[in-house]
Amino acid sequence: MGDSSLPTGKEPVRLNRRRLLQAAGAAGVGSIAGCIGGDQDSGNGNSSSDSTPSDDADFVDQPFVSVETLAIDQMHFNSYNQDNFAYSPGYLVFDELIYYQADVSEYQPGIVTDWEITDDLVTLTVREGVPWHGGEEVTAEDVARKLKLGVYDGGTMGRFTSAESIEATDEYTVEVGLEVPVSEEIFLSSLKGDSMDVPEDPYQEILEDFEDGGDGVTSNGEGLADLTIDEPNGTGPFKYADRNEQELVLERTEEHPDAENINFPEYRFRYFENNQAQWQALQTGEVDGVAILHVPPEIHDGFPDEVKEYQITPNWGAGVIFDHEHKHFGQREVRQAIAHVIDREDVATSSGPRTKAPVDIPTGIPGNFEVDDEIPANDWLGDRVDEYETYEGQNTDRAADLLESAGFQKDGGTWHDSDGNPLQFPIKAPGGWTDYVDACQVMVQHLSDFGIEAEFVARDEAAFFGEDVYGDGFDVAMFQWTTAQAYPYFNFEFMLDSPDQTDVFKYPDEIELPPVGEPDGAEEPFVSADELEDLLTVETGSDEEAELVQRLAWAVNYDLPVLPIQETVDQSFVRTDNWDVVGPDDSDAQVDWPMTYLPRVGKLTAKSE
Amino acid sequence: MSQKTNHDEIVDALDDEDSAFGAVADDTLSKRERYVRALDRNIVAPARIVWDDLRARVGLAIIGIYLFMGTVGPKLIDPPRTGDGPRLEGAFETWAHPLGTDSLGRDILASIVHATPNMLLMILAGGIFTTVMATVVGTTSGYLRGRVDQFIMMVTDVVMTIPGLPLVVILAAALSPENPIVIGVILTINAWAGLARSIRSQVLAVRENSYVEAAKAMGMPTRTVIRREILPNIMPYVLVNFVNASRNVIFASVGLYFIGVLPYDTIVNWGVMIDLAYQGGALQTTAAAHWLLAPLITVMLLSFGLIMFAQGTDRMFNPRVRARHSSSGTAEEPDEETNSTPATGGALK
Repeated sequence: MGDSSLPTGKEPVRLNRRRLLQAAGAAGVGSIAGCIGGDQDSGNGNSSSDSTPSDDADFVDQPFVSVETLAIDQMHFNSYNQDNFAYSPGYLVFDELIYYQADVSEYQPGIVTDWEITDDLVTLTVREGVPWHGGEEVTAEDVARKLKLGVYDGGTMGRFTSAESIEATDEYTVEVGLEVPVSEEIFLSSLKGDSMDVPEDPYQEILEDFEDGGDGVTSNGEGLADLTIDEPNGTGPFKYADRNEQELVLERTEEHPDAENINFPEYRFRYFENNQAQWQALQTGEVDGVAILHVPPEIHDGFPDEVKEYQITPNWGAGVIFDHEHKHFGQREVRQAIAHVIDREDVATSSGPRTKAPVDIPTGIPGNFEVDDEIPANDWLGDRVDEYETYEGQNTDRAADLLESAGFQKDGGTWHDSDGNPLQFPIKAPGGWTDYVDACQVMVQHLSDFGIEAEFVARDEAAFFGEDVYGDGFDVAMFQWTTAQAYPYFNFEFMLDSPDQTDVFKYPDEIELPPVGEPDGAEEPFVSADELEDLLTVETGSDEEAELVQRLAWAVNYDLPVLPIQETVDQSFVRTDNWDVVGPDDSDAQVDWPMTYLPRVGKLTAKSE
Repeated sequence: MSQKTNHDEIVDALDDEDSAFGAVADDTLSKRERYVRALDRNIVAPARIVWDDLRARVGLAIIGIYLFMGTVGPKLIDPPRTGDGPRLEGAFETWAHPLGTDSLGRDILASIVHATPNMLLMILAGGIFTTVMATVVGTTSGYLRGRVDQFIMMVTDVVMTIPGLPLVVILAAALSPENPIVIGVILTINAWAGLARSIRSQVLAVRENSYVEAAKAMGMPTRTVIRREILPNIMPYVLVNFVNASRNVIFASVGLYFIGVLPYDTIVNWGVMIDLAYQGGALQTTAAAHWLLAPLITVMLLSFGLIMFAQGTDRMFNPRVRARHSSSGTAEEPDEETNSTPATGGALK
């Protein structure tokens, strides 16, 4: 991805893209069969001898081997630079500020152990005794630095506080002054995904440049989003030790307070090129665990019993994004017609029979997996649920009416606009992401049957992000519609008023919208940013909140800035032949990710025999 | 082809001209007779030789099947669609999907059939491009010799030293061709060079024959000499190489589609099918094995057919074998070799 083409990303967007990269799991379209991965013990010999085995009798001298789809020698540890950031290893090298248990929707302490939220002040307590790998202790100053950088980087927190209002009041306390009252839900969600990865060197320099009104560059001229860090000064229970082209080696950090729960000396990440290679490695036992991997049922059936699967609902899913300046897709009727034609149920069952759920009503609210025959997302809509357009799919009559009303005509089996140009587009997705590829192919089938000349174009992953999505090189693409947050605010922000949506996909700041549930009613101006700000500050659980969510959901449902297609369940895997690990029902196994979080709490340990 | 035959041709050619050669022919062949002989020599006899050879028959039959599949097939079978059938139905389980379905429920037989026209176009384009380039370059250079030869061979050698696969990969990536004919040509972009050199060496030998000398002495233009005297002698070699070039196009295209260098927008391509099946885990689970095997066998069978045909046609140009089959209308017997008709002349050396 070319950095020059990136927008000055706000926090949620940045995290999303990082997640998106990881979620589909495979790198690149090229997939030559053959030896990938190399030896079980490919030449990282020095590291295990360096670490001092614990005195504990249970200590087992074996590494946990996981997978990485990025080129190991190009990986770096600056989370603000999307290009080749070491996403999975980051979960071990750095501690998160807080951890989120998806099954019970609860937050667990990380670097931040306690929080107290009032109308105008948030007080955070910092965990004592966590050392930087460089030796210093993590203090409130470090946490404040992280939060301030988030604000300067365009994070959600910037919508309710400013960098000046964030302050370390003593060694273990940070106070965040609030400009508007926010709910605990929103505040904690905005911390989610942040890790303690900004050591004083070099981040203090960047922060000070921001504070002086600069663009956040170091004295070497490296900006926050360009900086690469090869040997991180981390805070997690594993520290960087070594790497070669095939493998990254992390070593247990004796000094870390959680280290007592860990009875093995090393954590390794081995390079695998695509999903297929990872399936094989997991099947044969070449690796011990994978954070996220799309595994279709027939492959899963072939896994031996030792492979334990964890399913996590990450509030994540794929949808269709549009270039809103395109003369066809900038028209609401065209987007609506496409939504009427695509059969989401068919797409979801084809691309992930076990793990994808179709979006029930495209409103942008996450929660489309059935719970007791109910769709949780629809709870937000209350009694008005029937007033929203469901876009059933394969509804060609309705789609035809819409296109005709927009001046299109069907001619020779294909829709043409009033100038005689056919309605056609390539829909792009990264070729190595098998679930995306499958989904695109099914959508293309539906659209072609209807007379829209869609064709699927498989792209190299780097080209997809660098040249297409962020390089202004797409008309229609398969992308995310979610932000990995359960609270609907974050998806609305992403779809209606994020830098991605407004600067890159060119969605207008203001649209004309009829009243909720009345598509034929008089249209009125709708400014997403204002509505979002109201939702941010409203009291949770209030009628006002529900009304705001319903209005924003209507904007998404009617205007379709993004067309939500499906939601996904993440599949995580750990092999149990050499490891003792809790089952998927344990709440700690519902934190991102079982293979990186469970060791911290002593629920993933090496078998002692 | 024999010396006498070529001589006959010269006589034919000069037939109407007022020259010393023209006067010799007291019993000139009628037009009809000449056509019959031409038919004999160029079509019937070769066909009979080919049909006599089991390998060629097998090869022809296989190629015939593919031609049928590429021309009539798409009209008989509906294009593959997602959701045609259940996911990953096995082969030979139902009549609706004789070869089973892939992970999106598309019929595999339909995918294979609908890929055939473009594959055949690609193969044909690649084969023709290679052989025509090689023949033109090789014969010109071998016949003319001297500086022209030196220059052409220098260029040829340069082309030959460029590593083929990387060049093709780069060209494919840079041009992103989607037209099958363009892809065929790109895949064989430097395959002609080696063949051109071998053809040149053959021409060098042929051009020393006395009938070539005679043709030159009669003042025939270079073009005519090459076409009439040189080319027929190297034709067998060229044809066999045409078939080999075609096989290489199949393998190269399937390989490049598989590694994802060539762009594709549909699955109707055997290489793409193999890629998708591999990505879909066909190596890991027997549930998807048929998805991978079907296109693999399709590719192998066509390649096998082409090899068989090439070996069979090899015999066609063997003068001894050919003599036996040279006349039309009579039942041929192996012993007939000694009584061969004047059409091919008894002038076997």
